[in-house]
Amino acid sequence: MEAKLLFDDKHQWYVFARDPDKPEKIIDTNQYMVVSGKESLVLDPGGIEIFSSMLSTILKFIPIEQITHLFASHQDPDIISSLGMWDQVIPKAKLYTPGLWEGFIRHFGCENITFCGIEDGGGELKIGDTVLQFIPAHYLHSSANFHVYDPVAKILFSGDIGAALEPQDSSLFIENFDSHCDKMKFFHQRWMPSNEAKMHWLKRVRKLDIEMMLPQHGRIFRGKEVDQFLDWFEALNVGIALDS
Amino acid sequence: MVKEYSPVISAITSSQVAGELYRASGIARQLSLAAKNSQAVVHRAGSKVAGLKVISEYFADLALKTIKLAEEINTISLAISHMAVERWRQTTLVDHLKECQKKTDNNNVADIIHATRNRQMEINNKFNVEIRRLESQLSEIQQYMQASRVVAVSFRLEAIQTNEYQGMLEDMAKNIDAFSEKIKQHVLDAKSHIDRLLQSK
Repeated sequence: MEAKLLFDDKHQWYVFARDPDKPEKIIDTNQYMVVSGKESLVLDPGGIEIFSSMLSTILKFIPIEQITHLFASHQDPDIISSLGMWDQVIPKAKLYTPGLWEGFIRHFGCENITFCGIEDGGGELKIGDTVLQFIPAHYLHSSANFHVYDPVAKILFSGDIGAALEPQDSSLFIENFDSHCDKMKFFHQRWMPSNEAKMHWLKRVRKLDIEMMLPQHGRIFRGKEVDQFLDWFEALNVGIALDS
Repeated sequence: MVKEYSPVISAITSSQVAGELYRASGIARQLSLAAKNSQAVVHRAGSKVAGLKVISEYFADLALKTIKLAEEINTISLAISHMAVERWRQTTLVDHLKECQKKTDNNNVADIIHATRNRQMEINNKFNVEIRRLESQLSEIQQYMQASRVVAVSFRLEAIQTNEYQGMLEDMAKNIDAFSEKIKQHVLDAKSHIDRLLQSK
């Protein structure tokens, strides 16, 4: 699994992606990790099929005792179906995820890890000396959904927003925004159900100072590509299955 | 009877070994660079340091071998990690099927348990073979590093006899020694992770 350091100051952001060992027919996912002091947060740790690659890759950078927090943006299997395994290897960890999904997510197995449900309005989480914000992204696409914003690193983890369906060996970063739009269009039109929710999210996110936007699939947005994406998304009609 | 190690500890151990070897291979690259630098200095010094030529070539060769071996171990660790998780999933399945069996007298469940146990044993055998292979390769790297430290001492002694290059060559010998020691420490840590697994129930 490819690992890259995205931000390195008093705390660090890593991306783990493009696992060559994952079964061919499962969607490629990007996992992220914030390390601050002796604590860390793994964001959308992924499905059960990539668990072993994820654990091996994380332990290249931090010891197992330092994996203290998990975050799941929503309840999908590619986000958190590995929970039953994390529950055994890091039993003292805490899982932050939408509170609405508790009864559903527990089906993946959560006997040891402490389940911390995030209220609909969002909230904050301190990892080491770093304060992260949970940004509501409800109905995009899941009915209870959060993104994570780091005001110091100016990084927004945007879950399925900004996602693209791409081959396994594609670059981690956008090289040409215009050509990348083709790879994002169907995903957003079909998976995102509500134009109203989209506008609500855009209004909230446009107030944030963002230098890097990290989606759970596809490529990372940097600098002006973030604003280009927000404009592109605003103009896009979503929820297209209703017209079929 | 083939020993079955805890699937959870197996998954953690293989990932920890991969992590240690990832760090060791980073240092082995630094060792390789230090060895190349020493070769360059020895070359520049010419006949005055002829005795160091063979030693510096040995270092360069050893560094390359270490990098290659560390990468191989990394690959094996990852394969073991996948195997450990697969075994874990099979174990969980068997546990659930046994619960299911208590609730039904259907023979199909027993058949599925039997087939799953067979798959589990197959993976277990492969797992044990790979763990032994891993141990043996870790011992090999450890031997390389012990040799490297011994040769670093000879290098330093030879360097003392040179004049204008003495300081530079001594520093290089110290670097090579320090890198070798760091690699050895990561290998020892990897071995202690495996020992803990082998002692687990």
